[in-house]
Amino acid sequence: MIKIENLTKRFDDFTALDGLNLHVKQGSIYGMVGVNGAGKTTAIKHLAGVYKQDIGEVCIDNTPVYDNIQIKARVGYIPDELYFFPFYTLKMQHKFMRRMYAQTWNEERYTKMLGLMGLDPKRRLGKFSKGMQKQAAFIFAMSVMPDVLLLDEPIDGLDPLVRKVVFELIIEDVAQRGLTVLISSHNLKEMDGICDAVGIIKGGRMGIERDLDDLKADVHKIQVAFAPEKTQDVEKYQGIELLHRETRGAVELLVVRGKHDEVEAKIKALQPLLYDHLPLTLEEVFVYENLH
Amino acid sequence: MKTFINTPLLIEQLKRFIVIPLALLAVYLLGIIMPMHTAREGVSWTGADHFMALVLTHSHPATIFTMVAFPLIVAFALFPNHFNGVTNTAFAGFPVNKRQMFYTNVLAGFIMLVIPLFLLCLMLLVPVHLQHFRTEVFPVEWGVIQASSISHASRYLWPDGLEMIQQLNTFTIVAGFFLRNLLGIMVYFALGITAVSISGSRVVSIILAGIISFLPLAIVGLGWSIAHMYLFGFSTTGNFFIDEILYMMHPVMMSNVINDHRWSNAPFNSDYMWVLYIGYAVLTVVYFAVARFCCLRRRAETAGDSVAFVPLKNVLIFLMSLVGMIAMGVFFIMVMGGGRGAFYVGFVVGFVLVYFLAQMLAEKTLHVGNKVRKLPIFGGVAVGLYLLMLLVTNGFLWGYVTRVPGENEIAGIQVQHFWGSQREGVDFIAITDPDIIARTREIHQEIINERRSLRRLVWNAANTRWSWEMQPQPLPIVYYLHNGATVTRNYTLPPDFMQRIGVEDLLREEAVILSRFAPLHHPHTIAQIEIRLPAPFLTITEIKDAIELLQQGADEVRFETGWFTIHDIPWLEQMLAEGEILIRLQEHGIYDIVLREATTVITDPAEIRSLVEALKRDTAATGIIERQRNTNEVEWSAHPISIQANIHSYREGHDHTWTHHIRLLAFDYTLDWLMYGR
Repeated sequence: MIKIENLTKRFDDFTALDGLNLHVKQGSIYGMVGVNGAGKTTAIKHLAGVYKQDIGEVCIDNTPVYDNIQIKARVGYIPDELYFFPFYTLKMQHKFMRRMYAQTWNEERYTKMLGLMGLDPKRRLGKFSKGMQKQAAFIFAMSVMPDVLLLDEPIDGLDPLVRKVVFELIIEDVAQRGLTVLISSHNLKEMDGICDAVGIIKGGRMGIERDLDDLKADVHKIQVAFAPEKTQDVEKYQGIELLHRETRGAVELLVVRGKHDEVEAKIKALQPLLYDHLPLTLEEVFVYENLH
Repeated sequence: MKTFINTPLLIEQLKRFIVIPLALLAVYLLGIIMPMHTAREGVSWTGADHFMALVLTHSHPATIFTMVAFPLIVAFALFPNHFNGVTNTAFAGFPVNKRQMFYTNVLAGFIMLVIPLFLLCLMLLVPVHLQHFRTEVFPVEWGVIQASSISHASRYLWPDGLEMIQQLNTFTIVAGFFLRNLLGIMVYFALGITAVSISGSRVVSIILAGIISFLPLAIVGLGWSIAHMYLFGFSTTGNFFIDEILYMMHPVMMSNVINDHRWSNAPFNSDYMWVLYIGYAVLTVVYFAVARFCCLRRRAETAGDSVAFVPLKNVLIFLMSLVGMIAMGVFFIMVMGGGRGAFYVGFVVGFVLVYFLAQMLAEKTLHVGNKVRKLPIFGGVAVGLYLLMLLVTNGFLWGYVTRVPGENEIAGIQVQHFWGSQREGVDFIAITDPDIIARTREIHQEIINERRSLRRLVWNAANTRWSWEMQPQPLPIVYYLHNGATVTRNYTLPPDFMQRIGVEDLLREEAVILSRFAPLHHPHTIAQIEIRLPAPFLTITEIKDAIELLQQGADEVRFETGWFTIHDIPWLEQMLAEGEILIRLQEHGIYDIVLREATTVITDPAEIRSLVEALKRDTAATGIIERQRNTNEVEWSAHPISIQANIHSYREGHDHTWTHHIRLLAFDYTLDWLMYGR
């Protein structure tokens, strides 16, 4: 559904994206993560048709996105910084959006979401709090009934209740209509629960791109303890791809990359006194992958 | 159409900026319609007519302001996405492509500007029609109006003068006003869109709009002054009007064009106005094309940048630096006592100073110290251009500079300062007198021979502050060749030099002076001549008393005429001179006519032919007096009064007359003709 191939984008002397590859299957929720300045927003703006690539290909349904009305009409996009027409009320913006997306606009959903969020349609959008503006943006983006939803840092400012409502709707659309979602976020805890696949961008390139389960299956958090004479010996981990090691007294906390069975066999061969496989969050995967 | 216009966006843009057309309409109402109504209610009929003439000829401040300011405001309002990245992201996210965005905004702007103008024109129909109505009901009042107002109003408003006024078509007048105004508005709207398409900063856009609009003028002005400074003798090529046309191409000049040329027969009179209108239309299309190109090519990430196209940023910086360089060079010549050294120091100071200012503007920061690295590149290009210009002006164009057509090539010449005269409605005829042609060639050759010393005068600071008497005078020379070509040169020369090489004597030749007045050479084309005499301020008795008092040595003479008080000797002298004429006319029995109308009209072809001979003599004598005044050989007060001859002549292929105004300082032959010749 979404395909980015060898995308390169330079701003003057700065290379924001350097041969980025990204692939999102239809009907999946893709989490795009990366440190600040990694190029997440730049990548999303290419998908939204805002930026034109210097090199590479940016396609939705195998069709180039840039300046393409047909594709843009099928894309719902919530940027990190929101813009509404100055002095417009929610109602005025609603009228505009309804006209602009006349073919796909779902008035029923708009009314329903407006009821759930409890926003005042007669109030100026500029007077809304940041969170309320985000809610309004979600209402509009979801009421467009897009085939592709691009969310750039969508959770900032949303309270947990609204977050729940929004993600329930998104998941419902994914399940029922095959909506494809790409989320860029720092809030990895939230993404952990909903993403099917994850891409970690580093320095404008795709670091790792996997299904979330596969990703977690390849990175392991293990708690081990050895006899005192072995504790300080780091050499013992030779042959194991160690992403992180932390010592807490006699206990060592390891984050290791590799197949689960192989990792377990290698560590157990070292005859630990204690061996525990701990659950790993997406946030930890992200942190340790980036530290490495 | 659907692929060009996005209807939802169009509706939204119109809704969002509804306040702009409302404000425009308010300005029209408060600045034009209401004052027109107020003036009509006043006692002064001429005031109302004067006001309407100002409005309909686009000379009123309200029409000029709305023509310039509102289109720019609309252009700036419709493209907020060019000024801000967040806005740009939102707009780019809509299912609208760049082409649709551009055309939709252009259409929105057009609607916002044209509807108030259209409403204004609807509201104007009534007062314009009433004006027409009044001409029929109050013909006497119109007689008054004719003197002070109808002649002020352009011929485009009353195309055929007062006698044709009853055939006026209200709709035509207002429709003409609408179309002219719309054209002006579109020029500025296109200009505004071009500026905001190139820039992403409102401040830079405003500067750009100014630069772009003055670009034709700047190119001509800069080119002309540099050429004049370095290439003495270089001037407008081939066509007299090339710089004039470019000058008039500037939209601000539109109202001036209509005003300046309302009595004129060249270059943009009613027959030539279409050239101007086509010029404006072409300019508008060019601006729109540039704007469209830039809008489609500019990238989203440049929103908010001072210039959206990096190469253009450097061009802008370079052009600004270049203008700063030249301006500072000229300034340094003036303040540092002259010489090339001062000029070059000014060049360097101006270039560096404006370079950094331009960099600040382009980069939107005060910290441009690091741009010093690029300064040698920009400076190098400037020096390169300068050297190239020196090379061209000192070598390649010699053939042009030194060309004086051979005697056997020349069919006729013009040699005269003609601009002012031409605007007063004076036609030239070519001079074919072999002696004048030979002398003109000699003078031209002398100027070419002396060009190096003349060029040095420019570098002398004293010459930049020439006194009024020493002010260099223009000397255009035009050769009409047998092969149909024209060789045109326009020199500016110090008066003493002109005197020395015989220019003054040449310009005092009767053939040269009379070449300015084509109808005098073709009396058969003249339909009517009006001799307008100075209107008498005093009665004959008072004039006689005044002469007596003055002869008795009175320092001051006062008369109460019921509406006039005289207490100033120069005024008195003027009136006494007028009085003498009146006394002479009274003695010959035509005083009553003169006193009542101050004008006598001659229409009989035979009388016209004999009067023309008298006029030719007086015109030639007047020309000599004027040249003597220029060279201070004659005091201004020596000829305190003048009479005016208005010659209405036909031209082949035209169904209306041209009016030529000839002011006579010497009028002995004309007066004799009035008194004895008829």
